Amino acid sequence: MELQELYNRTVREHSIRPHNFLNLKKNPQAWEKQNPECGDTIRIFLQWNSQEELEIAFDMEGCAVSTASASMMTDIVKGKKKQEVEKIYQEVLDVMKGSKEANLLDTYGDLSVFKGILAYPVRLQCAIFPWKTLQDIIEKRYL
Amino acid sequence: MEHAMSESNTFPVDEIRKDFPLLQKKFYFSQERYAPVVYLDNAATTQKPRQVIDALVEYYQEQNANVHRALYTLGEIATAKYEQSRKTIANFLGAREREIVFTRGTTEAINLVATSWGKKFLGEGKSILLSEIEHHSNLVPWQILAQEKKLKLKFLPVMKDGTMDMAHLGDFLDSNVGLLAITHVSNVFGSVFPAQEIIFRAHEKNIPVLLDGAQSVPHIPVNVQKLDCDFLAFSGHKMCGPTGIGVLYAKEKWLQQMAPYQGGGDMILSVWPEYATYNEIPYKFEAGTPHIEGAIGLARAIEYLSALGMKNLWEYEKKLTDYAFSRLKKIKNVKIFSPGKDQLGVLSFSLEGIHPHDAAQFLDSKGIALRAGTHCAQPAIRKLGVNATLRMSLYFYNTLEEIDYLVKCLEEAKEFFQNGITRTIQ
Repeated sequence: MELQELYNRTVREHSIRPHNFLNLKKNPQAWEKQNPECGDTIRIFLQWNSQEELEIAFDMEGCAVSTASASMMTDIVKGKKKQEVEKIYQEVLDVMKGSKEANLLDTYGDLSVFKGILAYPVRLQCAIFPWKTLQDIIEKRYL
Repeated sequence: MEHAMSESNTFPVDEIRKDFPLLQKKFYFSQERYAPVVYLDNAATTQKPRQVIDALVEYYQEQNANVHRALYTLGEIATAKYEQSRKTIANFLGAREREIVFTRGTTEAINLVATSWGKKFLGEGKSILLSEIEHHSNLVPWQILAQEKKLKLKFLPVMKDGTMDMAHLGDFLDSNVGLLAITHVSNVFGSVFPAQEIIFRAHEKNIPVLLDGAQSVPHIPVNVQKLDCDFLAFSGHKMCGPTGIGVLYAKEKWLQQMAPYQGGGDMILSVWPEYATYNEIPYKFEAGTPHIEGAIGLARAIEYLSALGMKNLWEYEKKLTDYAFSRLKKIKNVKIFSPGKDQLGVLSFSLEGIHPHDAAQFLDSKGIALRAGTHCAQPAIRKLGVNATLRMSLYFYNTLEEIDYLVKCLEEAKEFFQNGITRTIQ
């Protein structure tokens, strides 16, 4: 894989200065998940505000790809209503798992930079990790 | 043709590399790198010499038939080759043929012991003693057994660099321990546990010992009689053999008493609608048509390694390891987790501020295959207080030049990531 393609400016920006990034290490309300393949850990805090819109923050010990993916994800879903959030992560995960067309990522702004790693099934797991965690929190644990 | 050590006593690595077709092939890694791979992930799996590849092809082209059943000529040829392989492996380990059970690999060998031996010999209240840094394959089977049989798991403390804390070994060897199951060489640190002493001291307390030889048998001479281990498990694919074949060595006295692992063809003597009687050892533990060409390929790999000389391989690998350790140590911001002495060629390290995945990705673009992650040993990695490490693991076909190239690329990685891609908290 070409390095400049993977570690392009957008990915670098998001990984060095991730958006919606908070220290959640000691926050008991944050959900924590570890990626068993690589040991990366993500913590996500989320709640629905009075307008039923999503408030979200994360922190993680992860590589540039997973951190950038999480940063972009929080940008995309924050302020959205639950139904919309569910539709978004479902669509993104479908693309990343190969059952929907890659070009759909173009509708999600910065996330389109990940079209290049769709062909690399191992590294792709890094990009999937935050999205799968969000899905697990909302579908399996969160009210 | 097998290579003899040259008279000047230098290891003929350039000649040896010619035996490995994959090491000759060029790969497209990136716009700037179209070249053979610098393969430094030998603890995961090794490359295969053409002697082994040829043995597999030869089997399918000239010997293929089912074993132990067919009376015709081909069946005799296949059976003879398969059993000859068992003999080669037995000789290699100093074991008897009937003590060699073919499995899919180390993992299945350990699961076999947990199922067939553990269920019979470990009763409620007994404990299984492991080390703190076991590979998941020598941990999870015991967790499953412990839950089922209400056993306790205990863990021998290991030093920060992955070496055994021998001072406290005695505290853990008590009459409640039903089995000691430990690795011989750590797949994370490369550290070597003093197996012979540990086994001797366990036996003083009548504790049987299973040795996970996945990282030792491919690299150093291992003799089961000298070690006196009760069980030894290892995989073919980590020693130039095919995947899907491995070995369980077990002392005959245990195999005679163990229950079958799986039921099916070949493991029986006579079968009636309601019951069956079982075949003699080791066939009792090899249900179904075995991985015949795998066994043949593994034996061929062992012949290949033996012709080079396990001791010679070990000495050369030691030279590579010492060199790699000294070169890595000099790189600023590299943290090495491995002990650096009395170890085999597995080196875990990290580059400060650069996540192991990102570093490994960078190295891949330079044509270097090197592992980043938890190496199937999460408890060991947690002990280091990190999420993941970079791991280089060497074999006898690696060269000093490859290590130089790795070091050069690590320096470039630091530059590429501007000495750290770690985020700043807003």
